Amino acid sequence: MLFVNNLSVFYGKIKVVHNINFTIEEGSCVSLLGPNGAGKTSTISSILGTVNSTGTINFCNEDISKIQTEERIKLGISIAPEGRRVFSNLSVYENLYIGSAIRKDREKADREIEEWFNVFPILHERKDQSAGTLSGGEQQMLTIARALMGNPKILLLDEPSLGLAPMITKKVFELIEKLKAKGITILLVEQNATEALKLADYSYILNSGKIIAHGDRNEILKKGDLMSSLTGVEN
Amino acid sequence: MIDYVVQQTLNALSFGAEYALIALGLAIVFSIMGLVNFAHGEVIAIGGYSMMVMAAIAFKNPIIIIVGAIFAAVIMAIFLERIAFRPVRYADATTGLLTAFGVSLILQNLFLLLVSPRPIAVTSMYFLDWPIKLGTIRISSLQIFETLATLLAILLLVLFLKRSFLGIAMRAASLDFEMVRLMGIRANRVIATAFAISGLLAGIAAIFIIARRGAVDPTLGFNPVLKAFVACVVGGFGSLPGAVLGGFLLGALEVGMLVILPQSYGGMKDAFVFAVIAIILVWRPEGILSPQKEKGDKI
Repeated sequence: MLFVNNLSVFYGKIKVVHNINFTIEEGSCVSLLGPNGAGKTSTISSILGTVNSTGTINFCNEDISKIQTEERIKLGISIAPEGRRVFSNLSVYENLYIGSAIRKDREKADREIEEWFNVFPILHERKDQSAGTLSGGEQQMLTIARALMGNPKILLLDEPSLGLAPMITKKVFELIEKLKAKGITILLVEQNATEALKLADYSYILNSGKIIAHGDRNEILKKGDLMSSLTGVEN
Repeated sequence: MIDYVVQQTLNALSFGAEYALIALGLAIVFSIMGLVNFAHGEVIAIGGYSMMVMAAIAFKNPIIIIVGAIFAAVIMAIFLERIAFRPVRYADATTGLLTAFGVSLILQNLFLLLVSPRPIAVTSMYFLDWPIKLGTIRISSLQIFETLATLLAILLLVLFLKRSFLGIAMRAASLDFEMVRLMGIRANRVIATAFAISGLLAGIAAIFIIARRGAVDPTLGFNPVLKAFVACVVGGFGSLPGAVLGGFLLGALEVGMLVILPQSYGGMKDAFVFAVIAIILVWRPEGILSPQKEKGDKI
């Protein structure tokens, strides 16, 4: 579904991601793991087209590396970004509504908003409330629901557990597990490697902009000391 | 005494309405692009010149002239966005500001060269010049139309921003423009709509400025835009309610100073108005209704 080939990402003249390659198959959950500054968010940004990058990104048999961000979203890529970035001056309902911007089937999209309210009753209770007044966990739920309102072919989740209490983090990962069970293709970027490895079918470890290891959970855990120092995962 | 207070209140509302209209036009573009569009004054002037042209080519019907002025201002605003501001959209704020000043100067000079440096009379808006007597209060139809038109424009704008998809997208874009793009909404569409709305507001303002002055000249919109800029600052730059509040506050201060100050100090009205505004800004440096700023730190 998504093939990233020889991807490098630049901020001005500084190269922050160095010629990486990875693949995400349809219906799978792939995680990008690594410490702060490894280049995880930069990689996601290059898939979205919001940073300068070289190399090719092939999505659903189409080279998307030269097209505008908006067009990439219309092809079926959706993002729940780091820091949540809900539209805090808009109501919860309006956030979900704007999430369905690319949908043509308005009536179905409206029904889906109601379905999300059933999944998260707290969002229903607060549907007319400004999204900025929600707690961090509620905002994260809203961000994921907003991203899914676009009916994406692939969902990019950037640090969904960042800054959340352990109890809320658990709920967020439970939600991701449910999405995975539904067959939604997911690229999960996380620092919480323990949880991410449990969920992901396949993982790539990034450090200093390079992929230093990849494999399924067992293969990653075999890397031992290196993994411990980079991700905090104990063998 | 009460009559006098009512009379001056109506004056203040009328002036405030004009500033609020122009300030809203500035604020709606600033809230989305972070651009202080000083060329907004020339969009107003285009509205004024189009009124002149239409009156000259025998459209004496004021409705046609009004629609024409608004149409010309909207087209001009969209045109400026396309040719002048879109190329510098992702440049820093200083580049945008200098571009706006440059566009303003170029257009003013084009008006000087191609039309006339002198004011040209535009007197077709006869229905804005009717004196109305309510008891002992004398007002002009302009004051009523100006206040009502502004309130209607604000109401329609609020409805657009709250009820329409594009309006909601514009409110979202005022907080996090990049995130709106990541929802698949085209940046060009949101920004062009913001400019079209600012042009529409400039067109309405042009009608009332022309009705008040009776003539159009190359600097028609320059001073009103400077005042509207002050209104935006005092209301909270980027805040649409702030722009409206700032506009009406500025109108009230101007009329208030004319009433309070002795006649010999009348020429110093603006100095006193700006002194009060300076005090307000000491109290609220970001403006009275400064918009909430919140952005994600990456992407």
